[in-house]
Amino acid sequence: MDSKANKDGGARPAWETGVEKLPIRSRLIDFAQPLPGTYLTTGSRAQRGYRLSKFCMAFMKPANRDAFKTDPERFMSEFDLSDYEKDLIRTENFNAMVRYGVNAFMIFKVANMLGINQNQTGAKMRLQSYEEFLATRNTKDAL
Amino acid sequence: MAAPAHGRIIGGLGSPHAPSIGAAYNGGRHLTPSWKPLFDGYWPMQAWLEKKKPDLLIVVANDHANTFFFDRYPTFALSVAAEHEIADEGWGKWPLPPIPGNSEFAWQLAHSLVDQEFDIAVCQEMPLDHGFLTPLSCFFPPERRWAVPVLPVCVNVLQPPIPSAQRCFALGRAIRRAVEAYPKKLDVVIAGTGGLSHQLSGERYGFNDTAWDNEFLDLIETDPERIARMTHQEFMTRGGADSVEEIMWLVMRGALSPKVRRVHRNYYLPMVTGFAQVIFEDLAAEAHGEATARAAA
Amino acid sequence: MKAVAKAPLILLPGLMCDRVVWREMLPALDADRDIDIAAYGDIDSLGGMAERVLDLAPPRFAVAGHSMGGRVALEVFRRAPARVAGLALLDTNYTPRPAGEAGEREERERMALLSLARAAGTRAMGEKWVQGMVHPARLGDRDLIDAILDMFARKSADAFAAQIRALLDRPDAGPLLARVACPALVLCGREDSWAPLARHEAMAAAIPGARLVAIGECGHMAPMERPRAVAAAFREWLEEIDSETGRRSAPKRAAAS
Repeated sequence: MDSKANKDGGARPAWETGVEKLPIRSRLIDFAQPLPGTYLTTGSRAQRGYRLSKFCMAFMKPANRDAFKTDPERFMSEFDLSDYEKDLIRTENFNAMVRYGVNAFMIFKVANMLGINQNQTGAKMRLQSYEEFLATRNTKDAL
Repeated sequence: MAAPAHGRIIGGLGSPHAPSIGAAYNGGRHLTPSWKPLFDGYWPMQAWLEKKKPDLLIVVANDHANTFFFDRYPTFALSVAAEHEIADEGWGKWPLPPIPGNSEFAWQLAHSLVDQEFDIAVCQEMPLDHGFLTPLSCFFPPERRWAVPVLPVCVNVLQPPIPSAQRCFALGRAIRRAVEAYPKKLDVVIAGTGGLSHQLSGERYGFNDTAWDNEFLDLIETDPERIARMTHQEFMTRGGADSVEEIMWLVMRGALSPKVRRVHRNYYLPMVTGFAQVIFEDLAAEAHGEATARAAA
Repeated sequence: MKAVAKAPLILLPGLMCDRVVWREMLPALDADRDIDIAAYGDIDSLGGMAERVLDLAPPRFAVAGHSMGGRVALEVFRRAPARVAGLALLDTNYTPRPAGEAGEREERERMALLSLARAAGTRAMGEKWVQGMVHPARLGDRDLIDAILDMFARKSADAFAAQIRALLDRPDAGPLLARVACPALVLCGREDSWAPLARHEAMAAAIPGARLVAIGECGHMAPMERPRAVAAAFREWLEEIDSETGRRSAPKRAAAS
């Protein structure tokens, strides 16, 4: 916040807020009553997360996956990521990425590259360990 | 019973399209205890397709950021390709034979839809990702790939604004009109894919509701207009954010006769998605067939 | 005995307030707890303020909101209940602006204050506004009143306008109360004339397991009027949160296969 140095180095989102200055009015979605733990990739949120989304898409190419693993800082700089965006990747903060405007399927691409499968990613989003999460499922290996 | 000399929808299928399913089948894990209850639901679908011998399979699915990206994202898209490429989702293409299309009908469908005021994007190249490949792999055992040409229809369910349920239902009706206006024999099966209840991002990842899923399966069969009136807020509240993709089942249902005969229904929730499978037989097609038989007698 | 991890605490000030609201309380709270105080910039919706908090907050945290900050805390909870380890609502409310004449009167009154702020400055506006804000016996407490007026003076009339808009457009947070599943504290000055005790009793009744604390000889600015009493209530609330967090992360027995 503004009165105490943020513990992870002072990086801030590029925009002050993720919501529209003029909230989207939609018959189909009630943007004034967002569902708990649910962040839709649309509007200014999606636009904010666009550059980071493009970065995630790069990991569809094996060469890019290798390049990142060899020198992650350099690879991220080539995509012009902001300090905050780099921090999201360094800390594997998937929930913050969702809030920032990166769609789930793009998050899975970067998570996969980092060796984290979809349900492990989901467990982190739920603020649970993988074991805690699997205990809530009907089977543990339909992966 | 002679088939009519024009197109007709003979039935509709509903299927999940999670990548893990196709991977399990192609990786030989479909008979493990965790997967068997799902694949027990695919064998009747394989048998039905083999018996009915459709001339075309329209598959309604969404891309998962493998073919389209948000630089330019169509709301509705179809491919007119003679052969559909398999998308490389990052780990090489699935080892499947190339998928034949039906360009002649696909162009006819594209014209008909735009005439009917559906502003559908027409792609000459639209690589198919797991949204299509999972159901296709499961509808056809390895030795029958690919017994039926495929016409893929893509719906945006990733980035709002997502088309309404009502719009998808209307698209299904428009597809039916296009098929029936086609002046050659063409027995068409249409598959709606995705769902059912699930959410794949945010703290609500892993949300499911089996009771709602079963209610959805009842309604999609007997009262699809009620599903068509639902808002996305309602879908998301009841079935998780990603359950909005169930609107693709409405494309399938809209293409069928008002009343259908359900010959198959299965439901299984192993991990994060409520998987559902259905076969609906089109009763108007059957009625027509009987009428033709009577006329010929 | 293993030390219990202390939940980070985020404090949300109210209309035209800032970190000074919490200043006297902080020394009475744990020195080794991460405590952060939000600022809203020019955001003109409660949802927008909540989004900002969620963007900048650690994954899981306790949140305490005073007055308008309490409404922001509820919007934080609405959006990300899984991230809220504890909820404290101070001198606040949850109802939307009433329809009809009552709601229009509220708008007129707020706009009149805004006009005064634009014409004569936010401190001058504060001198009028503060009259009902604290317990009547404190109106002669120059240190307290000056601290409050200085706080308002640090904000511009534009910031005031944005926060007024946020309050006028406030959603109904009533349905959220029954969903709270974390340790909750509902606190007010017994003589809070803007957010009466009765409303806090209703809130505490609606929130499962909530603790209600009414502080005597105290008006709307409880954290500034009675910082030690508020801090004492906070300590109990935070202890409950920390022990709950400890239970959540305790190693589980392996499930029988």
